[in-house]
Amino acid sequence: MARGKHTCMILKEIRRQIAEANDIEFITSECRYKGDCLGTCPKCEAEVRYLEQQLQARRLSGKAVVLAGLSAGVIAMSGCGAGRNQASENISPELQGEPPVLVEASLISDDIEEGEVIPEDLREEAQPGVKEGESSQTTAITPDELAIPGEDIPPEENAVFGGSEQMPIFPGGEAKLMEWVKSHIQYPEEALRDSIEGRVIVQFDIKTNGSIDNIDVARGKHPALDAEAIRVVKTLPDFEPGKLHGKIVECRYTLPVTFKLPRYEE
Amino acid sequence: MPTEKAKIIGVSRHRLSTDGEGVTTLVAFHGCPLRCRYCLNPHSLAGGDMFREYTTEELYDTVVIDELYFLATNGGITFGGGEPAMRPGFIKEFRELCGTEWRLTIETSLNVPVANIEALLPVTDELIVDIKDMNPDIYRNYTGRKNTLVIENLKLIAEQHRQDDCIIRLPLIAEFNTDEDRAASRKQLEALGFTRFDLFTYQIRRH
Repeated sequence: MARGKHTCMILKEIRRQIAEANDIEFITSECRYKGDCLGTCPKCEAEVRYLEQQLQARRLSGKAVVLAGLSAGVIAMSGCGAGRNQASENISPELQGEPPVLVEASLISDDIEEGEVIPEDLREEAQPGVKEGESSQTTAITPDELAIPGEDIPPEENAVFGGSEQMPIFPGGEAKLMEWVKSHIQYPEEALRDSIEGRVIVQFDIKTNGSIDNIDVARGKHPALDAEAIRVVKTLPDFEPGKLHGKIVECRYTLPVTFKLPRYEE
Repeated sequence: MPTEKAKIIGVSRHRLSTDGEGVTTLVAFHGCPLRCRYCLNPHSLAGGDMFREYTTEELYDTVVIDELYFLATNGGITFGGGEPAMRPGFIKEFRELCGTEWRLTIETSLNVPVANIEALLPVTDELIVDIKDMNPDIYRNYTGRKNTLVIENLKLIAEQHRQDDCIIRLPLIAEFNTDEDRAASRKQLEALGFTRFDLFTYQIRRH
């Protein structure tokens, strides 16, 4: 199974269980992508947003929401994490006299999750200063997993969702991006009147030409603030696009937009 | 008003039971007091200029997109690194932001001041402790540091009856310890009341 496919299947099953337990109409299609990925993609992310909206609607209409621990068994049943969290009774056969293991391959210890994307060539590149004899353990993070802000997506739908060596860059850098957002916000009247403030998290694609597309509210605060956050994102100039191994790729970018009510100075 | 900041070397989503129960996001801090011969994340030791500094709010905003999975699977955030127990203030403040429903796990060597672990215990659901080896000479040989603080923190955890919230990882490290050493480490830890162990072997890459 391609890397990430297992993660994708488990996350999809969790989403399905949440929908079923809360009477949410939810139709999801099987992912037909064949290559390696990180186990999620814009389509999967959109399904999460949809479920969150539906659950919120249930809460607002006074209906009970079933969520806490609902899918706690999914991961255990999938066979993930079999090597971790062993009780003291489950003594590893390694304690019975296994000789020290020196391996040629750079394969990580067998209790790493199947969906983790650490392709061999990227792992070699992604660990600068790795000395001979570096160990591999289950919690390795390579720079290609640095996903903040934004995550990489390829042009195809449901396609690879891998790491990027260079994230998209706003002209002038991150500080300029924050400045732009702050200076372009027009605080909605409705939110001012009702004293609503907070943070809206917006996600969008940055295309290979640096333009912005597919703007979504990943986590909203209030419809008026959400709409204004989307409007501000639409005003952003083109980014310098992200790169993977020197090749320009599409990326998914996450941007928090903060609304703070004006404070009166004493 | 949240004020804590920390340099973070990576955020890794959708980890399935490798770093705690449920679906977790691993947040790795820069900086560690140890200098392990086979460090897993050596870029946590390098100069920190290339890594982004986050406030607790910024980190929360980054990871909250997976809250649905956290709540549905009793998952949450695992803090690693580097050494997350060097950032007790940050993690405490993060707990205030994320609330009580997210599970917070820390992956730690426990080689930090006792006050740090004391501050972290009330806001942490689980600790995953890579003990290296309980023998002081083996420990120093491998990490370059003494394990005095590790022992003190293990005793603190025992005094507060939190042994059941700890998973002690007992590694077999080629050329540093043996099965017998590991069995001796385990015996010492069992005497302190620890019962959850994860036995594994460091896989050494040779080029």
